[in-house]
Amino acid sequence: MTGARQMSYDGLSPAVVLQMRRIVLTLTVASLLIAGAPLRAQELSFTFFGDYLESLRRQAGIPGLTAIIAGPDGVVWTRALGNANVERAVAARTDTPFHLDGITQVITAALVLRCVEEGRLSLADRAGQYDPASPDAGATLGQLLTHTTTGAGGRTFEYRPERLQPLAAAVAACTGGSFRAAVAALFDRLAMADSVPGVEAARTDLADPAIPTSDRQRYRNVLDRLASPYAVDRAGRATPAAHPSTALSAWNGVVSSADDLAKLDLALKRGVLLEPGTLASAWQPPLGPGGQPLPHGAGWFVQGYNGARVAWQFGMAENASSTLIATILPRGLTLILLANSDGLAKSFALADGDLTASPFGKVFLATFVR
Amino acid sequence: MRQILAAFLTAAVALAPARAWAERQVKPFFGGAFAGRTTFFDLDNAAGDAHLALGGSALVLGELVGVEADLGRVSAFFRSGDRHLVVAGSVTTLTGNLVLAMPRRLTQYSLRPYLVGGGGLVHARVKDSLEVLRVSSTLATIDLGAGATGFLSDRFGLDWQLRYFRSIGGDQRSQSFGPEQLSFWRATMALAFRY
Repeated sequence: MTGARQMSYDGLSPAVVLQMRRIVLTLTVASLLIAGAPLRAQELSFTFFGDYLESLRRQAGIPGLTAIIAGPDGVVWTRALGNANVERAVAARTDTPFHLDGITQVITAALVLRCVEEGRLSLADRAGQYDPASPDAGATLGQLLTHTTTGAGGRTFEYRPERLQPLAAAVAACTGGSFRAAVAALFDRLAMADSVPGVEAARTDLADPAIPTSDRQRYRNVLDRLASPYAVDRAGRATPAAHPSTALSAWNGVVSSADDLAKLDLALKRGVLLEPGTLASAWQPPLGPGGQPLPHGAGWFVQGYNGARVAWQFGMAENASSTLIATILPRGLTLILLANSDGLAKSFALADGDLTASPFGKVFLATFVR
Repeated sequence: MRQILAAFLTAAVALAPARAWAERQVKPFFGGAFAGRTTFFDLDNAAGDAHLALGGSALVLGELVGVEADLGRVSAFFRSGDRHLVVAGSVTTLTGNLVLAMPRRLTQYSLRPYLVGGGGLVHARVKDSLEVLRVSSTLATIDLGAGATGFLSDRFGLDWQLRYFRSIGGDQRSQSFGPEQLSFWRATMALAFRY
């Protein structure tokens, strides 16, 4: 028996074999622990982030909040907090539709940039070509998308989303239909089933003739689930409010869910909607008079944070809703936040172009920029 | 704000008791801070909870009117036992006050009630787990309260007091939801030493 064992281990003594087994086992366990550590660290990051989010939501006066973090290959984390409708105790869900407010301009930017790729529009085109009545008829489409004006002193930034309106006419000219139909086609293409191109799209009397009746019914069904907007006072009391936005524009009016926005985000990251080079250019901010980068690229704010570039956008309707989307470009990690009060944005000067002005943005960046 | 403080200090000097009439008191206290409200980042949602408060006050009191300096600290104002996002979060107050008391001759052998009010500074400090939403801010504050002191001997007594602190004039900065504000109630019991 002893002889057979000695032969099977090529003449090594049992003590040496036992020692080797211990070393192999130790190395295996160590390897597994090392491999598993980043995973656990990431889980811990998400747990912490979720805890911060819930705490901030309560203090910010947000009755219902949905949150998604999407990586380069798909959604990696979701959370739905509070109520989409407080009176009926309807819990918020990641497929709950919310007013997107200013994030609508990200969709507009994607449509414009697609037209530019196809050679149907140019960022150097004047807005007046498509909307002669616009007060910004002399501005280029690129200037509108970047919220910039070029004067004697050079290019300057001023965040005025309403300036984007001529872009709707530009998209309509590019696609040969209405702006609403272009937005609806984008939603259909990406299977964004919880998205509506403006609440009036569901109305039979005012709706765009390019929107089929079946789609209008589907929009009505989506709007039936729309998160109720709330005004929240300093004591945290939520009162039902009417959302001020009822019409689709180039910078406002889209209704969508966090799930659907994640689809849009993934389509952008994967180059489904735009070529990677186009998106990279959009996320390249123009330079100001002193050669310094301005805060806004074509459709997104762009800034640096601890060496990482971040593209982001926000929206807000006072006493009704607010939204935030931010992508850490080197990691391809996108945060989507949709709220049914103005708590995500009201207290913070986000229009100045600094995401860290928002505690929500600051915690996201601090947690995931490494 | 400066005008208010200047007016307060002028009044305090003018109304300060003459030396011959005055008694001096030192009152180390303990108690609770509660019903707090703040716009500072309050990650543990703890400001409204009850917290231990410690501190002391020094008082020079005449027959009716006195002046007081009060230093208080609530070391866990922003912390909650069952949450974990805040590592440290305290509130410290330093105020100067006028005291209006019942005449001493009427309350020689019983509790002596008084009203107290004034202004000063409140400092809020929060350190969170990720160290991204830190708070460090000093605001002007007013405080108003009432209490009663009873002396068990010539030198030693007990004091009970309820006082309200409310910050004033906070600006919008990057450590709060809206303009910086802080308020809370403080109920204390103190040992009173008279000399």
